[in-house]
Amino acid sequence: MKELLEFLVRSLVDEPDKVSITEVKGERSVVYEIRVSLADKGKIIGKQGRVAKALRTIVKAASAKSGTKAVVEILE
Amino acid sequence: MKRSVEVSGKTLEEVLERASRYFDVPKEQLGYEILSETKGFLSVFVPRMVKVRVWVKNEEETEEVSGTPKETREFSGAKEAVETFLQELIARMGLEVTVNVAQDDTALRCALDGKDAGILIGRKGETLEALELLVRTFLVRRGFGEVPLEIDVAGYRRRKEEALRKLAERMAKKVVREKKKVRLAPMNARERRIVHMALKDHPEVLTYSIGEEPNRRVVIDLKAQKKKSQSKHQTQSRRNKGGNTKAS
Repeated sequence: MKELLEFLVRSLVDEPDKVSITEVKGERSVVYEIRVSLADKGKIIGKQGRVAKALRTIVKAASAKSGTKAVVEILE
Repeated sequence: MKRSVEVSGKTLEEVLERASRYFDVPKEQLGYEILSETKGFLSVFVPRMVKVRVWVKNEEETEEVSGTPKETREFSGAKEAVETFLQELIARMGLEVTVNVAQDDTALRCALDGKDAGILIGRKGETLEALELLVRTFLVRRGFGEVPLEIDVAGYRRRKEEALRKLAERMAKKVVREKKKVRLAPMNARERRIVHMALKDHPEVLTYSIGEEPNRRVVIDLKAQKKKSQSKHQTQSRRNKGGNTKAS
């Protein structure tokens, strides 16, 4: 799942080297925290959060297969 | 420094023709600026003259203006980019789905299918919508611009389009029969477009959209002139012919 997010986020930003994703495991879910360069932040959120929403939808679909609940957060 | 010449002639086309022979480059590679122009509007007897400064564009300028060959190149690059992107994405999602990208005259068509197609479609196609948005965003970010693109998983969109067209036809019939407008359920832009397109040549109804996203919906209504002059006579003929009827 982390690889999936890394791939997606890196494909959508101008500075792929500055993308980092941390995995925080909870009891029943995993939170993925995305950090990108300030300039790229808007790019992975998109107009009215459309890109962020699409990212979450794709992650949700992928976690349906793996069985764990995945939460995506975009951090400063 | 640009090499430029001043040429005059009767028409811009003639001037450019001559300049292209002079520089020995195709006309598309010429840049020009009109210096003076006399038009024959007021005086028929004054011959039309146009004086133009012409130069040969450098390479970047040529690429910018003669967009067609460049577009085709980028387009084919986009095909490979989309194919790789989709394959890597699906592999990382852990899905068993095959990717087939083909390019025709109008668009890049991506056909996906396989055991996990259902997961990739999602509830009411929401995962497919998300996938398409991400592919489009990816292409824009990577400098391919807005590439005409169609993505379908296991023929889902094709079936849905067909169903929408049938719904549109059925509702149009209802509007004509009951002479009352019909509001369809809220739809996204793509779906609304399919309904509009399905009825655009319909002789008796017209379509428009009302409301704000995400609750924007299509309204099917009788065409205005039909509505104003509704007479029994017309209604009868409309039933028989379903077309233009003369009043009186």
